[in-house]
Amino acid sequence: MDISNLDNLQVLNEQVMLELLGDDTSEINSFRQQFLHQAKSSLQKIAGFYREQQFKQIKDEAHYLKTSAKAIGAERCAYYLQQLEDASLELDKAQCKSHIQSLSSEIKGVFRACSAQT
Amino acid sequence: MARKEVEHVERHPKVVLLCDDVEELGGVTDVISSQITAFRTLSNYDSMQEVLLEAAPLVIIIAMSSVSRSVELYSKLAKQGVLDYPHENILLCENKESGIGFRCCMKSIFRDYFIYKPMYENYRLRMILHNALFRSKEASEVTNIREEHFGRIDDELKQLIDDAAQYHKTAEQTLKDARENLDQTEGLNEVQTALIQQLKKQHITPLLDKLESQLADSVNELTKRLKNKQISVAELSALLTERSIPNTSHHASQIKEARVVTAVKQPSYDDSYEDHLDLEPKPEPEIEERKPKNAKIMVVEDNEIYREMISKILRDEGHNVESVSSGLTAIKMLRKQKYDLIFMDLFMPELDGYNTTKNIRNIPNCKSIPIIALTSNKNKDLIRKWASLGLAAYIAKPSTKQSILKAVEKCNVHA
Repeated sequence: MDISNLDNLQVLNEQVMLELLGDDTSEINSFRQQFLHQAKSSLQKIAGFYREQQFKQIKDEAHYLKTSAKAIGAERCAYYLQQLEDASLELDKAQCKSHIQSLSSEIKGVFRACSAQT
Repeated sequence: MARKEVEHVERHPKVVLLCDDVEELGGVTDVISSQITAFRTLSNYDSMQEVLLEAAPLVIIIAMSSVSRSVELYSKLAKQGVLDYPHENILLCENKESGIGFRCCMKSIFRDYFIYKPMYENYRLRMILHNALFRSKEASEVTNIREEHFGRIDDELKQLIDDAAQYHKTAEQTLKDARENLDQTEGLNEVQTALIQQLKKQHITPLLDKLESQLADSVNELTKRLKNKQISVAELSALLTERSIPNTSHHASQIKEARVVTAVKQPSYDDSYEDHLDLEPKPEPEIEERKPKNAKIMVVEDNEIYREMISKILRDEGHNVESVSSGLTAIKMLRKQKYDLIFMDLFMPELDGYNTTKNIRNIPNCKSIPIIALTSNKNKDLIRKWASLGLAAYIAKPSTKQSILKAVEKCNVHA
């Protein structure tokens, strides 16, 4: 999955989970719900790390969440998580803030997309 | 019964006696402990596995209630992978089964056998034990020297590869500086400047281009050769490791348990050893050869969602999957149990995939266990470094079910 170009990325690419798990809808929905819980908790952690300027922790948490974002097909979330990883590596506080805000908005988008499909 | 267990509880024994009835072996344990103090008697299967994995005793004496049970036990332990290290094994049996004991040794299932019931020659047992310890110590020392030697060669090769890369970088920078200096060089007058420019264009620039290209080719060739050497060393080391494991455990791990029982259960005291003892693996009918095998797979991934997805894909294919969230837990589990394949994440808290693999490769029964790397496309250099420890395949997350199963298939692990 190439997440380098935002224009080509979807809020929720259904194909990703279909190719991973097949067409078991209940299984897919269960993983999506798990992701939304995980994303909420991770985002709160990231915000806390940002306030304390703990860039290494921001990077680690962003990397952690990126794995499941990619796995459920939340491509735009994965993009911002990658951007956040890069910005935290460069200790760029302003960029981190911007990406955290974008990420928050994208997670809401995933939530809406999931709700629309269930 | 408990008395003997308490007497022989050495934590890192050099000799172990595996049996099902400690009380029956009072005389034997006395003889062995008079020969060596680092000795332990074990009658519980879990303890046997644990001690063999942790202590890798040099000599394993097996004295189950019958030879067939002894063969079964040794075969089971070999299949579990806890015997993949240099050791000697001795069968203890009753006089009525001496013929079978002898044939088992001729078939290379055991290195030697001793009649303990009735026990006439305790010095003979001490002699067998002494010789086994001597041979086993020598084999173990050779293994240690080999591992140290190959480890050092590998480190040196890695250093040479890094040095070559560094040299290339420095030389490239020097050439780049030379070009820049040349660009800035001007003559005292227009004629001189024109002459310099002409010289630069016709001679110096082509020379620098040629130098740069030759340098790149030479460094690439050198690095390629070093990497090939690194692979050869790793292959040779693996081959020698394979050779250092006694034939007995290879033989035993191939024995079909059911066949052992039927073959060894009909002892004939007078039989000569040429009589066919059906312990050799026979080709199975084709259908049985293709019979599905439930591979035991470990998934090491810190993200529980992705971990669960991979596990589900593998479980749905009939594999036996255990998943863990950290490299440290993986190492602990691998020390205790044998797995057929590992899926491993690169970035994990505490211990990353590279260092976890490095540790895993030091566990006796995990030197050649296939490892499939789970990672993203971005970490090519790190994956290359990781691959030097022996990766079977690499999967770019999140991947697809088809790619994941193909990678499993590539490792010769079929569901």
